[in-house]
Amino acid sequence: MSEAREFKHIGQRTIRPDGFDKVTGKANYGADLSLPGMIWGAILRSPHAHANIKKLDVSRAEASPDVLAIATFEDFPSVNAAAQRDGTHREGMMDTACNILANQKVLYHGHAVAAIAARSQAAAIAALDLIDVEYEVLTPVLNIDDAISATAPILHETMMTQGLAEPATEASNVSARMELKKGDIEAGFAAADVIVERAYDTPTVHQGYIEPHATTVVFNDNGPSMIWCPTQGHFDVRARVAQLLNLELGQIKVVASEIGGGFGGKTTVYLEPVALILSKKSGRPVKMEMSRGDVFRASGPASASQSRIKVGAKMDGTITAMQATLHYEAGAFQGSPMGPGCMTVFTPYDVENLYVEGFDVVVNKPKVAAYRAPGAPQSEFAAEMAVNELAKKIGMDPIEFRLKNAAKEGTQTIYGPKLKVVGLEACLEAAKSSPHYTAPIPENVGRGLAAGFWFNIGGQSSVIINLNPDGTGTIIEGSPDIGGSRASMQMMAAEILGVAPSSLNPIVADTEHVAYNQTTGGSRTTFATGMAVVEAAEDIVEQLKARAAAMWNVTAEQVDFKDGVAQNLSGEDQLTLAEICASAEKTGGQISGRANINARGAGPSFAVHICDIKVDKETGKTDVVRYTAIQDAGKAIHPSYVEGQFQGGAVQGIGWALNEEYVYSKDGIMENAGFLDYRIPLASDLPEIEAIIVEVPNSFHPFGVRGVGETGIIPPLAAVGTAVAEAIGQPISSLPCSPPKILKLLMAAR
Amino acid sequence: MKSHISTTINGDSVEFLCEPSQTLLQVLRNDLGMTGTKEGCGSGDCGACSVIFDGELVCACLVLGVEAQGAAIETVEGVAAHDQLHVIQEKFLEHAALQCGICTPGLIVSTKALLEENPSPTEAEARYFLAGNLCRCTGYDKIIKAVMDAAATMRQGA
Amino acid sequence: MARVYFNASLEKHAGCVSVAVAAQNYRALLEELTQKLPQLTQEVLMPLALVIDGEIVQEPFLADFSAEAELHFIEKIAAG
Repeated sequence: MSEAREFKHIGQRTIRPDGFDKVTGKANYGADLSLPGMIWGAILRSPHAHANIKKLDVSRAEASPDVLAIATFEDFPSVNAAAQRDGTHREGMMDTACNILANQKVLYHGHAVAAIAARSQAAAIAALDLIDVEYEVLTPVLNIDDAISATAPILHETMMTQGLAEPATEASNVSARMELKKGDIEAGFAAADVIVERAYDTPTVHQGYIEPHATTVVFNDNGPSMIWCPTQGHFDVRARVAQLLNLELGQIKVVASEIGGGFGGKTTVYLEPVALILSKKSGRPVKMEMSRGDVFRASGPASASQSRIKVGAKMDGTITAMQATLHYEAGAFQGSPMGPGCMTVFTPYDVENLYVEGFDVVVNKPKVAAYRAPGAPQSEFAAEMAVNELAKKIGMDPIEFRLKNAAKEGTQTIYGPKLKVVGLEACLEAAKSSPHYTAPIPENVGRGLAAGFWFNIGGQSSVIINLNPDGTGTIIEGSPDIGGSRASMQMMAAEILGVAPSSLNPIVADTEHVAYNQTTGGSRTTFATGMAVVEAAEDIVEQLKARAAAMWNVTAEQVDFKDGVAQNLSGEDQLTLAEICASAEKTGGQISGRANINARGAGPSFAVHICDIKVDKETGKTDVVRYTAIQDAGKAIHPSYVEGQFQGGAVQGIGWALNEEYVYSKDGIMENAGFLDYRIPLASDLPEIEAIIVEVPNSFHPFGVRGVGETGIIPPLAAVGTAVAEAIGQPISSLPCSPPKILKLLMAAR
Repeated sequence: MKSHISTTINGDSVEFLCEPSQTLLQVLRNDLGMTGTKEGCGSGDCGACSVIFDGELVCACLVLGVEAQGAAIETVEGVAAHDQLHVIQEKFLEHAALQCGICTPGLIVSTKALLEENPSPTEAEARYFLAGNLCRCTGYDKIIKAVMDAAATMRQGA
Repeated sequence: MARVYFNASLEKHAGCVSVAVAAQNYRALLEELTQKLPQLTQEVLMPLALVIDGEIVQEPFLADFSAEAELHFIEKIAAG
């Protein structure tokens, strides 16, 4: 699908179908459901970062008339059995269970220890004091250096490093090592005229969705139990709760509420299984909410990282070798996005000799969750900073330097395969001619530029489209709409069916009303669920042709269907979609289309961002004065929401680069667990974010779509970092570039 | 001891009982079922619970329920007239100024307060007035464009 | 014959950088690889995605490919 195609609806800026409810306060999010007879749950959390639970005594709570149910780790039946069987920390569900309710050991400040249900939220919180816990406090491990030192306290006694040349023989805080290589790294550096080698670090940051985790559940012994929650994947919530509580999938129905942001952080479970235990024990509907402090302390932050990067190039600008050693904090349980970090770090470059080594390290912080292009912002930040420094050293413009080495069709990646058609060069060219880059750099302003790469995924999606007797219809999908995807589904179906988008109502169905859908994540929704929508609509077109043929007493082959109208090829007859639907009763009953797919062929998305920064030399405060985000969308279905993804990703990246970080006391207590002190960008912090959509179609998608949700968070870290470095005239190696850190650099230089 | 409170919400007389410790936000959401006003932080940092209280823009999580006695409160549920959206709401939809939508009710209410106070804000004034409303999805770009467009449209209509 | 290329992590199990295979679908490929290279067990390969001529197939169970295909096994990509 490389030729330009004329579309009727795709590429328009329609009004989203769920918009009315969202601007009037009618849309129901995670905390918005209350049920008759409902009681409230609350969670007792660890005051320590690392401690053994010597005693957990709930007898006083049990005796209280206010307390209707109590939950502890002992209430996970199957996981308990599995734990006793193998006692390993490789068991994914075991870690999930231990993270939801601690098992004999707490591993971070805020780690859930027990839960209580009572008649009101206030009563439940008050009753937490009736639980007696005796802790044996251990030394916390709070960063990568401490965790990998020979004398580090070990978080998990059974955890051995996987992926070493020789099998590990002792427990370690390093859960895994990964190695990727291409060509001959030594020879590559030997051929270089100039080499840059530098260490970089990034802090623990939070996805920062504005809606805290919340759930309302009803346990039902005689039918499916109901879980209402804001999640990126309600089918995966169902699977995890079923595994944890030893239930069949059919015994649980998960209703995805509207979701108030996720960015990867709402792809796992925290409250849902606990609430269901409390509901089962009390016989009542149970509601639970996290406070903002709980969200910071006990839900998915993104990995802090340490990276060492070495890049060599010839004076003509040819990069000859790139090498990285990457450490990622996983939090309390193994499983950081170290793998994708290693795979993405150098993918924007077509270089012969590459070597990457990655380590997954556990520390006494909350278990990390996915965050927009998980793993890539950290590693690509380091690589892009080094590339910019190298370009400067050999006196080349950063865009020309990248164009000379840019990944393109046929470039062999470090993780193996060769790239198909990709849009990096197109993005670089668009950057070069952009109003921003062609404008001179104002006085006292630093300019930075960086590229970013993310794979994007396809995966399983199921869609049903039902047509009504008047030709209107319903698109039943199972991908929670986190940023306007209902609008895209409507437009794609309308394009195929030749009707007005507004005549098709897209709904995100619960787990009982549509077959399994993978989580909304990996930039897959518009690509994969969109592909399922197209297939379901095409299924309908075939049926419409057959029904029209039946009306005309011809064969379906004699019918063409275009722009919502069936045409009898052997005559003048025409029937609109609505007319065919109106006569469906006569021609065999009503019309539904269906598609259940496992989409292949997701197209990678590259981006290039440009950032201008001004630094107040007296205070170290930074101001983004101009910003442009350029990204390959393949094909933008709804350009406004595509731009929105670029802009939102860019600003999350700006926050990561400039201010956001978890601040810990030496005892491992998070000291800034609120939006006042964990400062995400405000409207007043930012200029306009110029968005430029590049379209290099993905040949595997019927309309050329690539995913766009994730790549946008990758380039800002180095674009901002480089702009700050330019503005202060000194190298930046550590994020965030917060005022105290910048001031320190400025003072040292004076 | 619960207090009996009489107040006005979106023009309707409303009575409720509340504990001295309950916030207006908790009363609205949990007791009156008015869940359009959202909770993002409970500490006045995010603006998701913005309401207009006796003409003043406040975070409902920082006001006690008992303070509502005799007050006139406007919430997001009162911004549209039946099915007729307010210009601000229309412009938010036109400009795709929401992605997940959780911050939107608060932003609609804050924008209304802004434009009532200053019908011709500069972009910088709009950005500073709305600095108390956090949005994590949009990067604010389309929100500010919607606000500026709403202001221009309202000026023409006035 | 199609050719399978191993990344550094898999090379440890495979003992080589690449191998030619007669298989033209995923199931035959697994059988052939585990026979030819006994260290490369099903447990190692099954959790991985298969890349066929640059296209990442996260669930390759039913995938087939041509006799000229270039194949790679990679970690499945997580969602964000």
